[in-house]
Amino acid sequence: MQTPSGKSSEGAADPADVAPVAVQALFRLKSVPPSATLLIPCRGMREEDLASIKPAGTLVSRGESLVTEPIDAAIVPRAPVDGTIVGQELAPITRDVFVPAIRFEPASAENNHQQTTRLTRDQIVPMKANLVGVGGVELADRLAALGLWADRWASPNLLAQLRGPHRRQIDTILCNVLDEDPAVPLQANVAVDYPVEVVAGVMALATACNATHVLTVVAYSGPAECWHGLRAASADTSMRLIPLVNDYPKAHPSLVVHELTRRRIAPGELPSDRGVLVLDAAAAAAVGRAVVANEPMLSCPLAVHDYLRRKTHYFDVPVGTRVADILVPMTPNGRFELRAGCPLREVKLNGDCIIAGDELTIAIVPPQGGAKIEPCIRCAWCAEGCPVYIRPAALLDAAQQEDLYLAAQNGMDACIECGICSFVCPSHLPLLPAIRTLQSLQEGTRSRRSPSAEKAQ
Amino acid sequence: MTAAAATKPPELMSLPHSGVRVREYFGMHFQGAIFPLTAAAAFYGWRGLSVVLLVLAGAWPTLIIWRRIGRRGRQLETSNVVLYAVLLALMLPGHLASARTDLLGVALWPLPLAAGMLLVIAIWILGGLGAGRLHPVVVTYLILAALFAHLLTPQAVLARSRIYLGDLLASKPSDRTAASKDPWLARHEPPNRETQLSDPASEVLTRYTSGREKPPRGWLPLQALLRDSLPPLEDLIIGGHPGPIGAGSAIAVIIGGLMLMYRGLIDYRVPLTILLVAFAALLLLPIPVAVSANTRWHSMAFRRGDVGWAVGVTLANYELMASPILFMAFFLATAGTMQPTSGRARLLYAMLIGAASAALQLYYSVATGPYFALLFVGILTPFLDKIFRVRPLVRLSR
Repeated sequence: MQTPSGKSSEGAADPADVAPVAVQALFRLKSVPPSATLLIPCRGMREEDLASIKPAGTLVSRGESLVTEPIDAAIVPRAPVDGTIVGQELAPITRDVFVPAIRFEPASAENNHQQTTRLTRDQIVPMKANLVGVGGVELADRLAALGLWADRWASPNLLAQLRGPHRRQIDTILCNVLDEDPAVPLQANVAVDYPVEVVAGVMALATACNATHVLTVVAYSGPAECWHGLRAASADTSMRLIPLVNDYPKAHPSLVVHELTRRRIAPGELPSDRGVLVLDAAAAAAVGRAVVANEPMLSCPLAVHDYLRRKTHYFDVPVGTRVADILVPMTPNGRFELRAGCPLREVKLNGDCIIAGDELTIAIVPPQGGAKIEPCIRCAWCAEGCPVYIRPAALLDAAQQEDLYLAAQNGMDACIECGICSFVCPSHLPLLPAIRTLQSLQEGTRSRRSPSAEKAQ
Repeated sequence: MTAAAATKPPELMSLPHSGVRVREYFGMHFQGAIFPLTAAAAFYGWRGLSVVLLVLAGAWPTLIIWRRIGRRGRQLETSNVVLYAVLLALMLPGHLASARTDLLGVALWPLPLAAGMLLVIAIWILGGLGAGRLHPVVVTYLILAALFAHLLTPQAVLARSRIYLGDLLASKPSDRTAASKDPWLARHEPPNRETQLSDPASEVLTRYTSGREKPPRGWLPLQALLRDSLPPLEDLIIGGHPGPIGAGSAIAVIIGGLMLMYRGLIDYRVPLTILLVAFAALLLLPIPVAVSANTRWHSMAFRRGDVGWAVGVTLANYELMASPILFMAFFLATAGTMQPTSGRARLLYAMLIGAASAALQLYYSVATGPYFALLFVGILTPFLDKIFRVRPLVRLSR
């Protein structure tokens, strides 16, 4: 990899030579008090497992488990604050995805909210000693027991990566501090606020997985404090900082892993299948706190980028908070829509969605009126702009014909749903929705043969 | 993300769209055509610009009418038609903007007008906006060339002292001269001579390389052709020689093409490969070393002692500069409807065009060979896209 200074980061002797330039202001994460009702998600639980949830009316204290007994491979839901279990219901993660959740009412005490634990560098070395001999699966179980969950666009399912099975031994831990939307540097802010926690989490994973390469990727044009904070925190460790120019959608693991290691992640694989465990700064900080201080994941960092007012708000939000509860103080007067992550990805949210370790950035965008769709002019901008080199226009054809064979020929499986194709299309064609339609069609009709495939036989 | 794609970074947008719509897309392409248009105004004066206006005047009412015909008609886009009309006009000679009948026996102004009408109909027939693999501009031009070949042969260029202002048809046919040795920029001009009349280099080259030349002394070697029958090469590069109003000035076409590249609108590999392959093919393909009663063609003629590298390369340079291959490579072959999607397919597409163009120039016509090459290879584009499947950077599945 070539750094902007022209030196190879693989052999960079002094990271200070390639220190990034500070161009963005920093914002401390603002701690948000719990709202009147929280919906704590129960991930990995089957229907019969829901019976082990403590009964309604049970009083629980902060960090306490909400189930009577641990469940294999499930994330143990924990109380973010002191409060009472009210019941169970389905809660939306995005507008279309629902998970079972526990309705929880926080106690009304004014101080019913505690800051997360702050770690020091001195705690990293003993932590590593304690983790020697602990494998990835055991560490994953520990993290699940502490309610830790991280599965987002730029940081794929952490526990699944740890548990495997892996097609290749994990030899690289990659902490991705690149932000999905470079205009909303949430991960950089997390790294600035919790550099020791991030380093502790990354080193804990490296120790458990016995990884030989520990890399942390930082945006070249991100805040300098992020670089310097991580460098100071990782001074005694084998972690290497690597600056990368963060052009959207560089933060996606497929692209970062390919750029740094030249390994291609095949369809259906996690990066860990190619020997690289990828997580973002927020996940690394949560792992660090869990491993060093045995602290459950009770809150999430969250960035809300208001495209109407061009303002960004950074929060530390209790797990299970509804999006609407966060937006109340800043609700814009007028019409708006919500998107998870970068708005180009068109992942729609509504106020009922909960914040629980999935997408950590929310965009408030103007309502997307019915743009006039014009015929495809075959400009090929969609294909030229595509970071994974597929043919979105051909996929639109495939979607119109419901032809999965044609879709596979044109790279449907490789799509990372960044939305650049829709963004650049002069004809305003719904390319990303077409690809999503094809993918859902494929999931629904895997056994059905497409007309082209039958013709090909 | 390419330069074209990065028209507006995500952090600056208010809607998840770049803001570049179809109208802006063709408008950006039009910016590249401004340079050949300027050259047309300079070298062919008001008659050159009048040809452009006549083509537009023919296209406009036809567009209004054909928009009402069927679903395909509703897809006709004004900006697309305007761009194509301008490109078509740039392929025509300047003398067509004339009501005089003494030159070629008929009034010529209806021809560009009809060309504009025919262009809109061709766009409609060939599939409408963004569809079809035959470029409507090329098809229209080739229809005109088939029907009115003698009317489309360029006759004159303005004298250096009369650029922009002169009348292209001010000179009499008796003022026609043989190819001058002096370059247009330094040529001595008789007083009150507004234009220079001569045979276009494309015609001279076509006659020679296709064996149709009838040399006055029964024998014409290649060296003598280059020395005596063709204008200085810099005239073709600058545009001081009769040619199509937009394609006549190689330097203007190149600047326009570079503009399109700079804006990220065209793939630089396509024109570059076309020109390199055409150049190589012009060196390799059989050419007559001398035209006589028993003309013989020799491949790789530059290896012969009586030709040599210098003459071989000079002929290839003349072929490239006298033909509209530069215009075709930058403005027509890079059209989205014509070129394949993948980079590897585009390379093969450009190589085929370059080779076919060189062959057609040598053995059929320098003036229309590149357009026929584009027409033939464009038909292959869907097959090229099928041959070269996508090689994606495979995905991360969650």
